[in-house]
Formats: sequence, structure tokens, C-alpha cells
Amino acid sequence: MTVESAPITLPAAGPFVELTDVGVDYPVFSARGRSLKGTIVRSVGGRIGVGADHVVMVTALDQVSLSLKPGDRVAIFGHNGSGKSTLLKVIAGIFEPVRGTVRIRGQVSTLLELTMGMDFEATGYENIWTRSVFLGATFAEAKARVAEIEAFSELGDYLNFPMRTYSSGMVARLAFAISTVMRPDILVIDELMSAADAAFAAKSKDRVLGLVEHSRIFVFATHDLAGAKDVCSSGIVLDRGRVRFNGPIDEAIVSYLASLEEADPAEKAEA
Amino acid sequence: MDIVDSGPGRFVPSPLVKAAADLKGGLAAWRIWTVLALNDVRQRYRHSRIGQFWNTISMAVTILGVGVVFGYLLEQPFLDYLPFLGIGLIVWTFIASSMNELTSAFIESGAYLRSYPGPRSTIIFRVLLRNLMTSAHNVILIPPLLLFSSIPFGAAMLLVVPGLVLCLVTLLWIGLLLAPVSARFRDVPLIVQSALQLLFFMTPVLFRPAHVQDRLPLVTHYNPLASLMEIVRAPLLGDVPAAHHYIMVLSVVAVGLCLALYAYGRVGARIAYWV
Repeated sequence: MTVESAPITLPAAGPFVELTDVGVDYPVFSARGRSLKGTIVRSVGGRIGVGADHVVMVTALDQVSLSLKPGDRVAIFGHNGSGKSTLLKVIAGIFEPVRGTVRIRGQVSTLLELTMGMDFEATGYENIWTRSVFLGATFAEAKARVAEIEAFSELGDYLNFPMRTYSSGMVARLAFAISTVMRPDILVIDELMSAADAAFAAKSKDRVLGLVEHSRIFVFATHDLAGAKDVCSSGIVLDRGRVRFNGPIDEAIVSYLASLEEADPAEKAEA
Repeated sequence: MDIVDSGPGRFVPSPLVKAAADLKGGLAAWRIWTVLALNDVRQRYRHSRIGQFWNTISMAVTILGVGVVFGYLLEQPFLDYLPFLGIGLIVWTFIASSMNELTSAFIESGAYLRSYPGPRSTIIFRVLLRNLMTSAHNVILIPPLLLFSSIPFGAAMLLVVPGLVLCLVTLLWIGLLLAPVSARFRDVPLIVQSALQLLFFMTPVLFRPAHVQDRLPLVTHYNPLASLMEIVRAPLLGDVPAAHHYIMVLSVVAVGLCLALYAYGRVGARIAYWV
């Protein structure tokens, strides 16, 4: 490196997330790309037609830099495939970047896959227990939170039923209730609120605002502009893996809408 | 609240430091893997009346059946051979099924790895504990086997504890090494499965080391799996394992653990891309 960037000053306390020039490439393995034989043969001389088992790389994120501090409520906008989910996973520390650096401090909780850690044969209560522990609660804490989750999810007697009998909206309610009762330092959510009904969505919003009051970092990916405007203070617009805009929520929405319009003619040309 | 650094840029620690931090975090997350392992065992037998004990019944029948045939083939006195075979099969089943399941640990837990921000070794500990729980059901067969053959309970039996600890550490490094490799190369679990099948016949489980000692030292003397079996099985039969078995297991553990930690730290969070 010829250019040495300025030393990054980190906040002395509290959770933070700091991404510097982050790039992520996904390997897309074909059945052959995953085979050991393919790799050995290829490294020995690659007799099996050149290119037949190349691992295709897809660039999901490129040169993404951002920093999040306590109290930040950030919405992430972008087309399908613009890198929203990948960015969330990098912020959560699940994906290690291929380029650049990520620094994270604080307990991270994610709501990326709705049913993570849930057993559909088990009852709602059993799943409250399992998932609370999964999100970092001690056994005593998990027990103490059951009442609150019970009340917030409004599932009543259904909590005694196996989860396979739930509708997807009910699953969303339970998952959201459990995940947000945890009060993590950093909460990362991938557009899920659409799964619940409108009344619950309003409640979810209050819950998220409550989380923010505890000076936590909240990041979520969404297509719901109105919802994002209510909950978030700033927005990041992603366009083909790059940050197009990072700033106040109102301007972010304008930028996102502009990016949609720009993309339109291109899509038509492709079609 | 530790700072977690990742990526190829500045601040990034060496593979060994990363692997050690992941393991430490994994151990600290004991509640998570305990709950997951319990759920695994429960889920497998949810709608069955005696559940997990079907395994124990099947193990008991296998011990009796194989005991009759191989006792006859190897010209062993039945009462003498049965506890050796029974305990051997119980220990082998634990080692082999753990190795198999550890190899595919990350593949089967893809959903977790794609959305769980915690240490990945949590999954390894989950699979280890799940196998330990499953095998613990077979332990109830051991006292009857010993009583049946009037083997006295003695102080040597306490040596089963260090034996089991070494066994668990061995399984841990194998898991740390093979689980990520298998996530990337999906042939590996199949290779491991076939290798274990072969090794079952090449390791003294059905036959005693004494049967081949002089002619096949590779099988009894230089076979790490034979040593691993011996340091768990011999104490349960009231014998003290030979020192060289401990030396063998300890040296393999030392080398294996270093190799596994380095490899595990190197691939690190790339695993999430592979599953």
C-alpha cells in the first residue's frame, strides 16, 4: 500500500461498527467446483476442458465504507441483488470481507432468517426458550422473558401448539417478539415486517423505536419507504454493490427513487 | 465486549489467534450448543415411544449376535470375549459416528452459519455433545456386561476419564479440520465415511490386539485409532492401557490440534460463503 490512511479513531465505549473499503465476492460453485477431484485435477494440469469448472465470482459489495455509532437507526435501500443482505451480514460479522476491514464491538443480534434456531415440531414455548438462548440469553433470562414475549406476540394458547401449525404471520410475530426482547447492542434485520399484519407492524415499529432509545445500533434492509422514514434517522442506498448515498433518511429516499428511475431504461434495454 | 476485527486489511490477527478466539467464544456459548444438542436428540426421536433407547436395544442385539459368531470364529471363551466386544463396539460407535457427523457439521448447519453472528465452533461443540448424549444411552449396557463376566470394579477404571478426555480432544480437532473442508469440498464426508468403514475392520474392535500383534504391528501398534480405542476400552475392562497408547494419542493430538487450529483460523468466516 502506498497511501497510508489516517488512523481510525474509535469511540472509547459503547457498540460500534466500522467498515473500511469493504469488498465481498461470492464464489458460485457448480457441482464440479465443489468436488475435490476437480480441484486436484485442475491443479495438476486441468485436463478437463478449461473453463468447465471455473468458480464464478460475483461481486456483491465493493468499496463500502461506513461507521455506525450508538443511537444510529439506519435503513438500507437498494434493488434486488444490490447487496443489501450481504451488507447486513458483514455488519453482523457473519461474512468476513474479501477486501477491506470490518471492526465490530458489541453483542450482535440478527433477524435475517425468520426461523433460525426454531424447531417446527416443538411448541411456541419451547421455541421461545431455544431461540432466546440462541440469541445470547442465560437460562434464567430466557425464563424471565417468556411473559413479555407471550404478551407482545399475542399468540395466546397457540404457544402450546407445535410451530408447524402456525401461519407465516404467526411465525413472524413470534420470531420478532423473541428477537427484540433481547435488547442487543446491535440489531440487524432483513425486511421481515411485511410478513406480519398491519396492526402488528405498528407495534413492531414501537418496539424498534424502544430499542433505539436504549442507544443501540439498529440496521435494517427494506423496500418500505414510509416505514423506514418513521423508524430510521439515516439511510444508505446501495447500487450494484456500491454505496450510492449515505446520509439523512429524506435525502436517502430521494436518491433511492432516482436510482430506480435510472435503472428502469437499462432494464428495458436488457429485456 | 471484545472488538471483532475481520477482513484482509489492517488489524487482522493471525489464523491461530483467530481460531483460539473462536474456540473460546464457542466454549463460552455452552448454553447455545447444549440447547441445540438437546433439541437434536429430541427431534430425532420425537414421535417414538422409547425414542433413543431403540439405539441401545439395537446395540445390545448387535453385541450378542456378533459376539456369538466372532467368538466362535476367533475361538474365544464367550464370557471373556463379550465385554471386550461390547465395550469396544460402544466406544467405536461413538468415535465413528462423531467423526462422520462432525465432518458434515457445517453443511447441515448452513442455515445457522448464514445468520448466526457468534463463533462457528458452537456448531462443532453441538455435534460433539449430541453424539456424547446419544452414546451415553449405550453406557447402561456396560455394567451388565461386566457383571455377566464377573470383571471386578477397580481403581484402573478411573483411567477412563483421561481416556475419554483425550478422545474428545481428538474429535474436536478432527471436527475443526474436516467440517470447513467438507463445506468447501462435498466429497470429503463420503471419503471419511468409507475410510471409517475400512478402519473399523482394521482396528482391534472385533478382534483382540493379541490376535495379530506380532504379524500386523501397523494395525495394533502404529494405528492411532487402535490407541484411542485402547485408552477408553481397557480401563472399562479393568486394565491399565500400555503407556505407548497414551504417547501415540498425545502426539497425534498435539500435531492434529495445531494443524486444525491453523486451517480453521485460515478459512475463518469464508465458511459462511460455502454452506
